[in-house]
Amino acid sequence: MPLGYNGKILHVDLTTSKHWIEEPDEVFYRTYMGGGCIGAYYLLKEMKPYVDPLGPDNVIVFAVSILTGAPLAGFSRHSVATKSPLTNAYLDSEAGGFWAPELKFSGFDAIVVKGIASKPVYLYIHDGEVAIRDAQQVWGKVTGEAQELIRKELDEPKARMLMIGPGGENLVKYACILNECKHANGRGGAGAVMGSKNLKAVVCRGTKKPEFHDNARILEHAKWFGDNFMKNPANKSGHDFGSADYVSHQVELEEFPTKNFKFGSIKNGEELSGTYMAETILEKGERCWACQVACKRVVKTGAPYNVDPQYGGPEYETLAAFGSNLGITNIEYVAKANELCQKYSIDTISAGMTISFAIECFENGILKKDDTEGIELEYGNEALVLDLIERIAFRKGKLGNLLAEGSKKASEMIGGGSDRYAIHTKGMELALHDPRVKTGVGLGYACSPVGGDHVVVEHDNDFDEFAPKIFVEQVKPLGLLRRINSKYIGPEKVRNFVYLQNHFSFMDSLTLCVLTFAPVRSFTMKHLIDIMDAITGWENSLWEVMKLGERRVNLAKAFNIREGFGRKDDILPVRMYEYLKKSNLEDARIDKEEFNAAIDLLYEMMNWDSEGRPRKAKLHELDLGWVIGEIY
Amino acid sequence: MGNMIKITLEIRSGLKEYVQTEVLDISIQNGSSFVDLANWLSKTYGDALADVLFSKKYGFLWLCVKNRKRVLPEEILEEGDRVMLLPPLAGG
Repeated sequence: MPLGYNGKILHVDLTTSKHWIEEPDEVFYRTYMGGGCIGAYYLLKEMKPYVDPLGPDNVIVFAVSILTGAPLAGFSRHSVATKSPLTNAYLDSEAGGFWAPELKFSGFDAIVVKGIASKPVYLYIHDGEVAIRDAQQVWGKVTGEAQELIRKELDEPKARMLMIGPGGENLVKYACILNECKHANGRGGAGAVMGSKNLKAVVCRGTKKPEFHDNARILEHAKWFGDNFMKNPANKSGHDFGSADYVSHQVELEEFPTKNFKFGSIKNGEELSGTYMAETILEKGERCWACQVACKRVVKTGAPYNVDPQYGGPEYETLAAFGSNLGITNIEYVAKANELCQKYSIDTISAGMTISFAIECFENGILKKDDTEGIELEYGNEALVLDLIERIAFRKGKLGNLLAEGSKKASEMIGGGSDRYAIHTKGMELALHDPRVKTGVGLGYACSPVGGDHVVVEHDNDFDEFAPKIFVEQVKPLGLLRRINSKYIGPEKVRNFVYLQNHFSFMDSLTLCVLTFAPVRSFTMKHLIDIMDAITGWENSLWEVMKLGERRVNLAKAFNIREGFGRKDDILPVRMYEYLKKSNLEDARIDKEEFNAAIDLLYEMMNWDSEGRPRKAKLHELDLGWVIGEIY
Repeated sequence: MGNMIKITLEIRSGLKEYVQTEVLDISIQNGSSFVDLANWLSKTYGDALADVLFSKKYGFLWLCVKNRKRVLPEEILEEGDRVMLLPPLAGG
């Protein structure tokens, strides 16, 4: 009998309204374990190359892991993998909240969906029973309203659901998926894939908890975390101020992406900080399932914005994307922009960055009033941004349709040299961390199979010469023994990147939260392995999970190679090779030649050829011999 | 008094809970480092703050910023410095 997992994968074909259950063996589960690794496995197995990401042949995989459902902080996440409509590349996007344990308790470890339903539907899984139900009554509704209606219809107030709003239904290329109206699988447009399949929601209700090998040991770890997490400075910061606390660093060090990454600072930037939020609009911090950190923000404002707390509050990325990036420091307006994006299911990062792209095009005369329906695009205009969010979500008019495509596609439609203002890799807009001051993050942006994602590696500053000893010590079990400068790019940084990438990748495969684990948070690597043993009854090791992480990276890379991606796609936007001006600090930029040399070296370290194709020997070594036929 | 220097500590993030002001002008012994500053704060504002700034196992936990640059905890403070202590965060 499996321990920790159900041993059941649900397959659904929406075109035929059929479903079936696959019961893979233990070797499968121990090889792929969950999350993005299981997602990538099914994308390669079930999908042909070059399918339309918004067509019936795209596959979308919702997965938890062998560890999900253990009552521990950071164990409540799930992954959504699909071919991205924003990048046409591999996508897996993770989220916390409450849906993941509910899927596990309802009897499955993953759901693999293909086809297109003939009318709007939602999937309902209840203690192993599966139903495809009519969703016409909730189609067109915003996430909060649709969630309430579905719960009422099912008479299941505890039903948990992954949900899209109008942004997903209208195929905004960066539409996201929400659970509990505030936890987002944010990046890459998985919400548009759901919309294209006429799939409004994936609803779970389960009462059967999985069996674990050693419950007492799991509870000991839960107690240890509860007793100790506030002693970790990063966990305490998350508890007290959420990810918004990072704003203060960015402001002070002039590394706060401002106006489409043109600048690193904005006047009164501190008014976007976690402390300012706590003193003004914060209602409370909120938890994911079984987590004591409670880093989620819930905010409320009065007029004129009247932000609804149901939709949570802005996190760091949103504060930067809709704040400094658009030349605004009014936190109440950012909270409203956040609320609208959660209601409509739109990724705040791509939305903010696509708007700043358009503003810069307008400032430079590439977009004119004829192209924008007479609207003057400018920084610092709160009403304009909120109006643009509406236009994007509902694809209103020429401008709404243009911006709903994301900055890369929009720049192709506009032409005129606008591509230099599109700050993306592979079509995914960069998150709000400047790679000119942390080059490992830059390698992640350039080489991640999903594009401009900031959660590819732990960021450089955590292990540089100024980092606290706690982090430098906690990363040593990975074999990373030296502090490395954040702006340096060379062999030692590439080695760090490879190890840290495999580390984050196994975290995504095990659907664990990086905000509760070493190297930077409370649970150590030792805790992780002992918890895995206690859940599964297997004798696990850090070696095994590092190989798991490497396996996921190579599966995702293979998916992209099969789609025609290569070395030419592993690049940074040209702006990153220009200087980021700072007032009294050293200006920063990336040296293109050095950066390209680092990517070449990265390929060699990963045992990829000059196009980034995993070599046959590497695939065999990772027990992925079956992938060879897909890419050779 | 010739052995004392004046610095300005701007209070951000988790420090505000303990030092309930925006800016603190401090006279501190010449030759003091950021660790000395953190010790002074702990002594002045109590053990609870000491537990936040220091760990028995790893020592000083926070980031030191002097005149908008990150510096080491051992960095010596100088007359007129504008400094911050921030929790060690690197991503959003």
